[in-house]
Amino acid sequence: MRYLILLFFLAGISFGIAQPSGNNQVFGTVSYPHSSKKIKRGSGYNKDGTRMMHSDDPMAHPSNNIIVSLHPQSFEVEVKPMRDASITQKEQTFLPKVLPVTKGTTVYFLNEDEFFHNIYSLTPGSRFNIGRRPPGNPYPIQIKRTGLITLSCDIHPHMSGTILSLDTPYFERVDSEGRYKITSLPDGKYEMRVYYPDEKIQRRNIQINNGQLLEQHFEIKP
Amino acid sequence: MKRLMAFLFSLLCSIAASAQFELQWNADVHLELTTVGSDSDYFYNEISRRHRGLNFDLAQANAMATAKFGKNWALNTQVQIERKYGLRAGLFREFDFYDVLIPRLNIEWTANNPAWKILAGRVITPFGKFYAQQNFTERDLLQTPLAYSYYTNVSETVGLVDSLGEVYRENRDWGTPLLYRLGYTNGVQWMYQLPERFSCSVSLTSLPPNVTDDQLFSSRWAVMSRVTYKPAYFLDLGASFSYSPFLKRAEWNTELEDLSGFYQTLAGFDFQLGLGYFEWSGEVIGAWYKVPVFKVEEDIYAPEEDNPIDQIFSIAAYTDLKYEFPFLPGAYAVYRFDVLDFNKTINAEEEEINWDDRVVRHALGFGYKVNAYWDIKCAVATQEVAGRDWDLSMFRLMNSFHW
Ligand SMILES: [Cu+2]
Repeated sequence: MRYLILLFFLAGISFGIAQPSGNNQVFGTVSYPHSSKKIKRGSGYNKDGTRMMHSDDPMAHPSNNIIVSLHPQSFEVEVKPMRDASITQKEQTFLPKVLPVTKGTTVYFLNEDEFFHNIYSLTPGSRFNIGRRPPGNPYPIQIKRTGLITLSCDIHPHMSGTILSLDTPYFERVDSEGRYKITSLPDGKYEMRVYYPDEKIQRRNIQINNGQLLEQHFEIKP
Repeated sequence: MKRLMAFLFSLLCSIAASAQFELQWNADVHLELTTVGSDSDYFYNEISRRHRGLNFDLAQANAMATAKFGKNWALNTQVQIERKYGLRAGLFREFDFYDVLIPRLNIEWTANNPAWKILAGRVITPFGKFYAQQNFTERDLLQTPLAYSYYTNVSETVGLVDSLGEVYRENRDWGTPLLYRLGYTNGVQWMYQLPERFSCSVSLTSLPPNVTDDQLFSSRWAVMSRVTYKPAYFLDLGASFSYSPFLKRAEWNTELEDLSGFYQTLAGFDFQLGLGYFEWSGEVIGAWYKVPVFKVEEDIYAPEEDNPIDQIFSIAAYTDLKYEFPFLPGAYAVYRFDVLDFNKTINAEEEEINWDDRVVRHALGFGYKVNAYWDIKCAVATQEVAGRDWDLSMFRLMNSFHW
């Protein structure tokens, strides 16, 4: 009997956070500036005096690191930690430059260079320092807060990466043409957010119902 | 100086218009509580005894610009403002407390194979590990090693003088450290660099690495060379060499006809070993001088036949042990053992003595990175000079705000 009550109770909980139904879609484009910043804070060279390396990998470029996310306002949504979330350090560059994850996800850091890298974060609520890490050996860190978490390398001060930790499962990386499409969205009100590396997050409120296809365009201004 | 700054500014503006231009900048402001020993001096331990108490000032600011012209050419500039001589500087002070330096102003040619490079113009002294200490924010212990900053009994205008600092305190000079008095030099630098694996550079510069003069051309040219090698991902090795004529003409050394035979030779070796949260590094530098011996009491140079030892030698070594606390991200502790020693020579009284007094320094530092713009650093040091009862102890608690 006790188990039956417990079962009933658990069912009630799962009902309680059940998502509203609906199969809506939000799509559109994000346009961004084509030249990179010419003036920035920095020390100009590596600590050991060597030339800085920069990867040509597309995932290092800001245009491939724009994240669109939809945050439900009118209902609660269950957010599960993601699997296989990882950031690679290659040619003194974080790849990808921005990694979107859900809160609670364990991110694996992998050094694919032939020399030491370090990763530390001074972001309150997610401070960590993984020390000097040799090539290979993925190192796990669980992300326990939401928001932007800035990653740095103590050995190569020009290296900078970001984990965008989200309280929603509805997000997508904008493609290389600047397009995005988020599907299977329940009916309701949402806050839309667009993150472009090192810029302020743009926000917009929307409402979608009855299998709606909603078009939304954003423009990032430096 | 004003004209040079105006020239640099217009140069920066014109290259800013070029397509591949980038400007990086940083600045470091300190709020610092200091207690230093009663004999502290910039020339002994890099901090004046006048620097006691609470201080707030701009320690250093840098602007670095690079403009690329096509695939092979680039122009590099760096302008640096740095607090002069560690003097006390309050909120209201004269601008004279600052040095405006130009660490870099050079043209860079990179071959189609980017490992090969030639720089011409103003460069950072290409000897040893100086670039790692160049910016204040990168100094864990606040002080630089003794080899970089302790002024010895060798003067670039007089030669070897016993107790030089006390004798010439007022009118002539304080001698020189073994290297990096200015930290920057002018010349041509040839480089072969495979980043994080191997590098080799040979430079012909206009000045020895331990003088403050700043001519574009001088009779005291220097040849410097540096090789670095990384045999494994956890180990960095480096070796440096420098040779240069050392003595410069002054009104009090006209007694010496030819200065070209007096020289300084430097050889250095450095290493860095890393493992997880540990870092062990160090540097050994040997300095050989051939300089004239000046007899202060008689106010004349010792005749050459009375100078049985015409080559003097000094050795400087330091080692750093650094540990980052894994349970307190952003925090570290660092310990440095630093020693500077001198060989024996015959003084004016025909006694055999070391040509300067042995110096030993122990330094311990703690640091905490609060965020990307704010560090807290604390350093304590004791410094003993053999045969002297100088109080050169130091305690500094610093809030370093940087942009
Ligand atoms: Cu790194």
